[in-house]
Amino acid sequence: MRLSPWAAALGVKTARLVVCKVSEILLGAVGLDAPLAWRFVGWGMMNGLGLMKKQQVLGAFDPRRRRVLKHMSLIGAAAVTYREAVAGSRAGLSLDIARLARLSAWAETLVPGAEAAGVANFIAAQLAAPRQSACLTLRYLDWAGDFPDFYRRGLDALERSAMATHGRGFVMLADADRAALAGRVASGSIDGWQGPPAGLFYFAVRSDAVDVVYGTVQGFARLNVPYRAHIAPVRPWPGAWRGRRS
Amino acid sequence: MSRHGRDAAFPPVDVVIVGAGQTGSLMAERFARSGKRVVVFEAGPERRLQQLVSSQIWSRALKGTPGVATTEGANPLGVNFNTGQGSGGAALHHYACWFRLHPEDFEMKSRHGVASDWPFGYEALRPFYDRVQVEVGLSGDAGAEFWRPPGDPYPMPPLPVFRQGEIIARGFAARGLKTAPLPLAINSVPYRGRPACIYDGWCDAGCPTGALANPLVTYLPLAREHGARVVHDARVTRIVTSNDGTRAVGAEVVLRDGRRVFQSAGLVVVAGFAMETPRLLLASATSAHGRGLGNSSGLLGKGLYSHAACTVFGRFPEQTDNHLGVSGGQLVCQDRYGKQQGAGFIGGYQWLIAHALRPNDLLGIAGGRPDLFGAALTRFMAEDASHVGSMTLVGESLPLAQNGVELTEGRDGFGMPLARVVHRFDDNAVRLHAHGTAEGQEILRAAGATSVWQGPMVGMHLLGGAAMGRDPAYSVTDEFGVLHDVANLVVAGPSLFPTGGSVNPTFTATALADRAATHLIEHWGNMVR
Repeated sequence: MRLSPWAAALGVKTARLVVCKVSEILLGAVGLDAPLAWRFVGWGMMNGLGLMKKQQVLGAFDPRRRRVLKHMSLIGAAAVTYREAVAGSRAGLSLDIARLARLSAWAETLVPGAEAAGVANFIAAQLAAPRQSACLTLRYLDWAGDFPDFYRRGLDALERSAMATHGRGFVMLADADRAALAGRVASGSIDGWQGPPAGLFYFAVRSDAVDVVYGTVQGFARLNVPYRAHIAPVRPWPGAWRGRRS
Repeated sequence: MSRHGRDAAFPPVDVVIVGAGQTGSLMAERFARSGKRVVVFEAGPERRLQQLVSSQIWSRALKGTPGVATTEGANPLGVNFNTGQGSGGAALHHYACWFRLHPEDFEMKSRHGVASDWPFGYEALRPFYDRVQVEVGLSGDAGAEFWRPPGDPYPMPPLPVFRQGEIIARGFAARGLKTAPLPLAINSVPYRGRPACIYDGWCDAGCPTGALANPLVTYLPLAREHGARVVHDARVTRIVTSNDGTRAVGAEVVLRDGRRVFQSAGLVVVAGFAMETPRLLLASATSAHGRGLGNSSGLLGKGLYSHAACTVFGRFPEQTDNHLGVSGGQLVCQDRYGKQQGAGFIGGYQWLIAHALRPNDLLGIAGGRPDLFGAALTRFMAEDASHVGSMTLVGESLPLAQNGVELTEGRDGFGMPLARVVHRFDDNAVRLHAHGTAEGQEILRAAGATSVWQGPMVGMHLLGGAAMGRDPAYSVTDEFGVLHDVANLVVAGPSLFPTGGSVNPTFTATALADRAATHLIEHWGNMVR
């Protein structure tokens, strides 16, 4: 049996538990009934454990369900992030898995490639660090409030906006709907937004996503820019999972 | 704990210095070299060169002290971005653009009827500029800087100009404007045991090679060599004064282990930079100084100001090699430094030309186009990023009384009041910015840019808040940074600047600290009982 890297790292038993729990959270959030939910949970487990090819699974469902399935992978990524962040910090985790999944999706909308580059891990690791050590752009933006609260409230506001506009959570939106919502958040004037200033939330997470996609050794390589480090970072960011390359 | 709420007292020293940044380090070196017992308390951690990882992400930990101040007003200042924590302070990640103020900058009130005059003129500071530039090591071409005030030539030749600089220089030339190599505190050749720069553009992350003259390779090791003790993670929470308030007797400091200790000293130097310096003095209020130490004028913390800055970008048909060079830039133009441009504002500006760019971070390539996201951003980064050239306008702004640093009800983990920083640009600066950036876009087009864009108007450098002057009614300190109200309490750093011209302030702050230290050592007997 071939295990996907995260499943191997996590251990099969733990992986099952995490996927089940995460799936419950997210499926509950999108209002799916239990039997259908558990079909997705089962898929999530199989996909996560590498037992089933993604194309086979995707072919078995209708488009709306495909979107659910797509984000089962996101859940997996969020679970990995959760584990990485907890392992990488002495403090607890500031964002729950549902929010981490939403954060990944939001960052991916703003900067394609952010999810795979580990944006949720990056942010979670910084939020788990002492404020003095957090390496987020938010630090430069002189946000006086609690850093984790900034992300929590922003992500919650994003979710409410998605629900109000489209009747479903952000991770369930089609790409075009996500982009349209991102444009409204970026403009800073979005009806009913209750959270940190919308424009600031857009800018901060966009910057985080740019960091992981373009600001690492791999990111420079993506742009064909020589990194030419004086002292090369051993990991892409403080608190990064050891398996992540700079 | 004693009845004073302190756990212990250190043996007395001659000089206690608050802050191990640029000016605190120089002061420590000067006093220690003269034989004084010196201790430096630095609120942040110890920094070492080998910790300066080449990454815009990792290096953020060097900057600011998040949570100490809120920043408000119509044009909030970037407090954390502009400040530092730990040895070296903000100078550890500064861009090393070292300019002299121009003679006219010292006389804005008498010549132009705005702001205040400095308590002395350029000639009083010139010998200290000359001395410091040799100690620190400056590279440049004094002859090519048509606008440069009188002074000794630079000890090193200029840094090379790369393709981005050559491209943008075409635009200046096309519009009849002059450019010259940027004067930098970065080695173009090996200098005093430090290597030459290799132009990889990581200055902003902190230079670990020693080519850039940050305090870790200049004054701080020298201070230690001469016996100064530098204590890190040591937050000075209060300057303690005599009962009648006329003299400082020492400082109260909270150490890493949580102990609150009193350090007795003959002279106290506060070199905490533009936000922390007034914060500490305000927080040290006593019955004799109810509004804060040195605040009989009511001006302590007031008049904080910043250069009105804006980065202008262009997309050029050819690749610009914008990853090469140094963060500060390759060239400078000060043709617009004169105070009367005839364009509806008083004051001048300069251009810092051709920055080494990173893809990420606040001043990075992607950061320059915050409007782009999704596929449009991906396309921009893939197709345009390597063709971008940029330059930054550094514009003069005038101090406003309503701007400044004030204390709030909140407290930090050491029991110190938190600060609120309030700022808006004066209307003059707003007009200057509009004029200058329009010109900047034209210059880039003249250089061949097929599209141009610009960032927002932002504050660059923190200045003022404890301005010096001759009249105690209108200033906080005398010309050497000594508080008018407390005879042996000294401020060092750009907090002292009555006006800031339109050049980066580190050279002037350093020369000013050298001048003050020289005076204080010469007059030690009168200053310290």
